[in-house]
Amino acid sequence: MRPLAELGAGIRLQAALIRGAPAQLLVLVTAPLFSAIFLSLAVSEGATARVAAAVIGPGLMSLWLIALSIAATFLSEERFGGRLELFLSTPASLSLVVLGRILAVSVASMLAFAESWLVARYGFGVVVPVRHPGLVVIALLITALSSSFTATLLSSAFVLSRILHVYQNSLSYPVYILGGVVVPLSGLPGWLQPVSRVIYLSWCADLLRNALEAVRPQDVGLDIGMGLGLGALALAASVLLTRHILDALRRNATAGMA
Amino acid sequence: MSDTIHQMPVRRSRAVRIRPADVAREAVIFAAAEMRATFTWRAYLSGWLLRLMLQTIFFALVAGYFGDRVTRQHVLVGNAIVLGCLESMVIVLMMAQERQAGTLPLLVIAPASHIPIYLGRGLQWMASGLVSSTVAFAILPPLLGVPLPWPRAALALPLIPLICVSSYCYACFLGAVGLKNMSITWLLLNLGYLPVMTFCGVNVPVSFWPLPLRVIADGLPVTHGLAAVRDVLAAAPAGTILGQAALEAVVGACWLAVASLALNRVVRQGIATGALEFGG
Repeated sequence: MRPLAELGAGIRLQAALIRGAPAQLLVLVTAPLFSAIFLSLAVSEGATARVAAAVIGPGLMSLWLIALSIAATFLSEERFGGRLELFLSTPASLSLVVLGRILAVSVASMLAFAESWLVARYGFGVVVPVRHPGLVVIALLITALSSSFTATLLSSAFVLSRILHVYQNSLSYPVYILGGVVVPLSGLPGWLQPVSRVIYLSWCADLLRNALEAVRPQDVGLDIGMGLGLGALALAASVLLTRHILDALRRNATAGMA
Repeated sequence: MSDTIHQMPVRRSRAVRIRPADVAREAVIFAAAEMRATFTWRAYLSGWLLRLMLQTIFFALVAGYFGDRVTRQHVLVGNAIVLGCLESMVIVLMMAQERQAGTLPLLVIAPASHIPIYLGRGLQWMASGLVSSTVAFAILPPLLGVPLPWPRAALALPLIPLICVSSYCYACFLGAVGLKNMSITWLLLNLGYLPVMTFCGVNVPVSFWPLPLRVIADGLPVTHGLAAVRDVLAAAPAGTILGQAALEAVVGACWLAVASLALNRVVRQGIATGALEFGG
């Protein structure tokens, strides 16, 4: 039960922080504008058959961006604020608390998918079909989980960096390209496709596209397994890396140094 | 109350005069020093600049997915040019940081005006935007298989600084708004450049949008400057190109005037309410 309690504590803390500073959910303001950009391109080019990609894209981008943002700031802020030392003296798992916090923002940021769909419907008069609603829910759930797992790993890695803002900024668009958030991997150069396949978002994007527009979704099991598997792998790596980092901070007595 | 605020002058000592050229020189020195403190060359090139190039490539790939080769080139040029606007927007954050540092009350009683000092706080980002736009415009089209018509395209290069400056003036206004509401600076920054990316002809022609949005786009930076760039690439008559460039300059000048007024209003309100130091 204790892991669940730690996870729940992280979720409750982040929910309270969001209520106090809703600007954390900035992506919900920017997502409709990204939708408008993609949809305007799709509509002006007459590519209505591909309009689902224009709706999925801003949602996936928002999910990744907000997870990245929390991951980049969380541990550094705790360390800078002098709270990391206090945390080290508790028996709770830092990874689980971080995961809980990231899960909270990931779930909230999934509203971006609904916003994009509404922009398409009412801004452009395009109805994006939802052919397999059950599969859409599963796909969104897996995407939110894997994003949170991956961001938890990044939050551990980021604490070691002195040029955090550079990495945080640098990890957005490469992942949008490699993750196929708008353009499927088949639209990328062949030599990039194997690299894309180690990015969980590429599997989640395929799954979402299938769930929305395919009459008979293909390779659903593979997409689910790989999307979730890569996320779980990232979480396992995060637990090990966090343990290693915290041990080093204890050993060197540098937990309080930002 | 607001009439009183408008009439209240900002009193400045006449005992010592600082020449505007000195303020400008110090601003440039400060901007360069701040950029050096923000980035190493390696971090700038492999982190920031590369990120901006990948952003441009991303939108070009999206354009290629929905459209054809022509669309890809159109979007690539638009997104390369808009980088200057994006980076200029960072002044919104810089002005808020400056106020948080508590310099505004000191500058108000200083012999130099606070306006050029505050409005000069993001010059380094405008310069960086100029570099990013130029690099993306020159390098990315051939890499993505949609080369520009050189040497004619070189005539578009002088338009890039013009677009950066007009975008910077617009961003200065948003920065002044941010000084009043410092908790929404990131929102202002994003809501500053994303509508430009959406409605100002960066991805789809301005004519795609309904009339009210076209009217708004006419008053935003990038719209006319980018139109001038596209005119250069299409070998349009010089009069058409110069006309669009002049409109871009006018838009920038108007935003600079509005930014100065907005900044002065923040100072006057701060003096009147006694909250100048605390970001009231």
